[in-house]
Amino acid sequence: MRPRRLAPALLTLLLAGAACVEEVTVTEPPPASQLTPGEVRTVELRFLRFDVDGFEEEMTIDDVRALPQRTLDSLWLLDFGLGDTLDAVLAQLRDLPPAAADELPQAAKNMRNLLNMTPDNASLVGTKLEEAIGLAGTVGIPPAKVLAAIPKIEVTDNLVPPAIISDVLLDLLVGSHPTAQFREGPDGPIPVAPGSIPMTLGDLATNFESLADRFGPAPLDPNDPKSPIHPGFIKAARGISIVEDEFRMAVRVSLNALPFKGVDLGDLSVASVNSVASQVDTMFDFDDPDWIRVEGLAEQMVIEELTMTVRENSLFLAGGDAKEPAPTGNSTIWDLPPWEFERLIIESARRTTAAITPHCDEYKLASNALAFSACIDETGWTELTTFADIGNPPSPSYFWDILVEVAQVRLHDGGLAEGQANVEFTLRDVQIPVDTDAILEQIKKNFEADPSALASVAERINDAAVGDADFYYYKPSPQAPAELQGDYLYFVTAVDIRKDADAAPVRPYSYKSPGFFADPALTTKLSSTLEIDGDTTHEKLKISPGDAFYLEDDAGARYKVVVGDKPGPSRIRLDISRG
Amino acid sequence: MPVRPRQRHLVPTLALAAALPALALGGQAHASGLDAPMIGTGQSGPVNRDAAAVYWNPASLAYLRKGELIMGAGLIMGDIRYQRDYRGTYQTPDTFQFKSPIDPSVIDSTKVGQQEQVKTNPIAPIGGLFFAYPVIRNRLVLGAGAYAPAAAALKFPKAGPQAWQVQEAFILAGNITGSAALRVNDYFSVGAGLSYVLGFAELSKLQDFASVGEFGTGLANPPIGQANDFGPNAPSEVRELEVLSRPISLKRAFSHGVTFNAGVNVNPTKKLQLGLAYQHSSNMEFKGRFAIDMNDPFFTQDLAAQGVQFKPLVTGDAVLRFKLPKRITLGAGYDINDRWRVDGFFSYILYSEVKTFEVQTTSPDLAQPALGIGDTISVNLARNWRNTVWIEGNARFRPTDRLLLSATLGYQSSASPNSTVDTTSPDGNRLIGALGGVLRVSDRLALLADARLQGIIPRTVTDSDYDLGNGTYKLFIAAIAGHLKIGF
Repeated sequence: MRPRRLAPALLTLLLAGAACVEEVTVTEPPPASQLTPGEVRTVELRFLRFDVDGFEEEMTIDDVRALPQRTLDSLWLLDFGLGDTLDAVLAQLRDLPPAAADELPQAAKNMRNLLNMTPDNASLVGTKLEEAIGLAGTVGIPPAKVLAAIPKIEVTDNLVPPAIISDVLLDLLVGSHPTAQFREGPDGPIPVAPGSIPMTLGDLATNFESLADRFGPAPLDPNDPKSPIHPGFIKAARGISIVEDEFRMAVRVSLNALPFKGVDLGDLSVASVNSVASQVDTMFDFDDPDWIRVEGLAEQMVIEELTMTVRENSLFLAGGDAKEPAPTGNSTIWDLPPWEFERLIIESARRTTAAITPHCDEYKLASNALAFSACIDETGWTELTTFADIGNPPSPSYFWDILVEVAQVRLHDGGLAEGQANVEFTLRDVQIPVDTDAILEQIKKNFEADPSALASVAERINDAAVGDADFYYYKPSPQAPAELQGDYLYFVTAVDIRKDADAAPVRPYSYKSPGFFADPALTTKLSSTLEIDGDTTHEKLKISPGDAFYLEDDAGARYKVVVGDKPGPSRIRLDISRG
Repeated sequence: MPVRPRQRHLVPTLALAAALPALALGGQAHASGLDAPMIGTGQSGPVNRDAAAVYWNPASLAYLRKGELIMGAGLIMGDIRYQRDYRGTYQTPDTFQFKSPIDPSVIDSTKVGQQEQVKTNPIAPIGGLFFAYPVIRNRLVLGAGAYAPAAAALKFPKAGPQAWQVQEAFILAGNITGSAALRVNDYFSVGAGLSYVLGFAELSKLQDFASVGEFGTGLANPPIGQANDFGPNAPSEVRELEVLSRPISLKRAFSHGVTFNAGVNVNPTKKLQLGLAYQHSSNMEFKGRFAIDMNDPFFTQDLAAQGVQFKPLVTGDAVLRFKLPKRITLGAGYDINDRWRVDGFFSYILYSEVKTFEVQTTSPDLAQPALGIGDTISVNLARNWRNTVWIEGNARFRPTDRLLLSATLGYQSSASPNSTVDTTSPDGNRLIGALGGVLRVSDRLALLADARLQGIIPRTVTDSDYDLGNGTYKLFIAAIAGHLKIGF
């Protein structure tokens, strides 16, 4: 050692020797281990209540995206009505500039034509109304006028209003998809609002990137391998966003922010049980108008790219020609699955027809003699009648039977064979106005109705679980009735199981005899689900020094617990041995 | 909390840093209660002419006609007692309510009134070395000294009711001084000295995070946003909670500083000597290592998701800064006759300069990025000391040519007001008494023996701020020392 370093070293030695102030150190606890037969080990537990009031948990969109996908997908926000979205999508397809439309696949091009189909551009060749072309010629008027007169529209009006097509797509195509019918709930499937898709926090976080998976082909009954397959209606989706960069979601909670301390009987280690799940029923103050805040929802939903599909039937299916069976008639199209194109069109046509008031239009020759009439009654039954020798009228049918044939023909323009006209179209950069206030209000209402939906997120944000406790120590809140005050042991329930990084339980809940018992055979239960601080799910046992009881862990091992003297008002000491 | 959560909401890191200034209270040892009871010999003083004038008044060196060496050693023994009197309301230590009024069900009914008395009986060696030599006879004398003007040694029970004030402390300030004195004439001399001040400190206590403002602020600010009473003004209801009481130690802390003293000596007559000495303040900056036991799940585990997660043991560098105050001393001596002499002094010590202690802690383990806390934190702790006086009078009797006997009476006033007194400076108005003797063995050699006793009038405090230091303080210190004085 060099002299210049020697002096301070000696000085330190000298002074430190004189000082003798003990340095603070921390001793590592002995490693946890299994109980050996006959061994009694003492475990001390502390109950610390860190009651936060109105604590606001705020998440940015990046915070949200950092949550496990399982958590994101489990947090249902609302059933998002697709009506406006479909309207916008169909409108964009309908209004595509010709140059852009030319680049569409033929089937999509034909779909666009269908949306734009008017009496003026409809081709009646090959349909029930083909004969009407000749009849119209005899009276010197364009066939389009005859066709337009039946639904009482102008020749340039849409034969089937786009709004009706949109509604039908919503009701039949979307509504028949299993994912749009039910969403997963904690206690089983929950119906989805008609015309809606369930929107989760995951949708917001990932810009709906799972849309194609969720609304692509899917069995109607996932539990039945022979179940019919719904072909789905979204083939690809990218960049669908209704959140801005400034998105914030904040929830105000009042709860004990600390985990409960319990014992893992496997190695008698002290474990921490996340306390959020068990407080979910009491942690929100719904009387506080700001108990949940969602900011940064965009005024417009932006769709960078969306590919929708509609399958057609492989056959040309004629419209019906009989009134019976009422009220739809006898077209086989009514028997098709609700997602097939022909079925969608005939339903659109039926709804269009329903808006037509009964009437008759008479067409006269130049001599003023009545040539033919076209009548539609209150059921939509449409009949052309000739009064002179000007040809045969088309056979009567419902107006939708006429339209569905016109549409089918139109869909196969360009030489597409039957079965090759599956409609698939991709739209880009669609902007759809969003009623953010309504969405927020709905989200709020939904959470108020079932706050447990937020539990997984709150639990994740406050992920304090460590180890795998079989039971934990609890003291009722000071506000609980006096007769309930005391020290309790709670046997864990499924919600107490620690979650892994993907928010999945790290172990199954495999306790065969949850609770605390008076005898080693576990036949006389001492615990109950007595309500304490709103909790009615945990098996609870009030304990006092000297009490003894038995319990079984998830591996089937049984233990005896004797309550020792209390080291403090909020501490207990347990002597544990194999039962 | 609180720390930002996020700054997340809890800020125990700041609290941790704030713990250290409290350790610095050991520096209060200089303030009064544990002032080194003896510097030089019992025959030294601001108007007394020996080599120990290096400390007392360098101007007195000027009248030394020969070289002189004083070497001494001794022991300090103390008996310091404290009986805490809980006068506030406390919650049970294993609960955690942080805003008063606390729920009546968690009020600790046992934490009331007089607690078991704690005491410490420190024993510490003392020593000093002084040297003076007239380099120009009757004109210029040079001197040097190594001595400890301030010292403290406390060792209270770790789990005693004083543990939040101090558990153990050892503070030492040692000066190595070089002096020069100029004899202007027989009536007037001046002198000055320059000192290197070496400080050493080791301390331990329980740090109560409830008293740390940053902890309360972190808890109160977003995102935790919990109104609380934590901070320097925390009421007793939220203090001394088990989870927030963290053991902390400061070890191997050294301070290096420079100061000076100066004085004049006036001899209006051959029998009367007057002296005026000024001791400049000394900035003490102790650099050492701190360690704090954060090994509670509350800090290491339970709030990790909120960005609060410490290692079980946080260690790092700590710097404590405080000032040894200025003092002015006026002394007078009168030789009544060949056998009798009386002398004494009056010191006025400017402890009111000491308002706060400052501490800076640095450790990568302090950093809590989620809370916006870096690895270096500085905080202050208010003390609000008062200026003090120190008066001593001595009577010296020479029964024979070879023997000199002396007796001393004195008084020191207390620096700490009732509001801030605690066991880190068991302070009070102190009475001093001493006896001394000198046996001149030869013209060159003398042996000196001294016994010095100090004690405070038992001090009962009932108006300590936030009930931190209420109770009864007792202090008694005895020092015995022997010195060898060699002339050459």
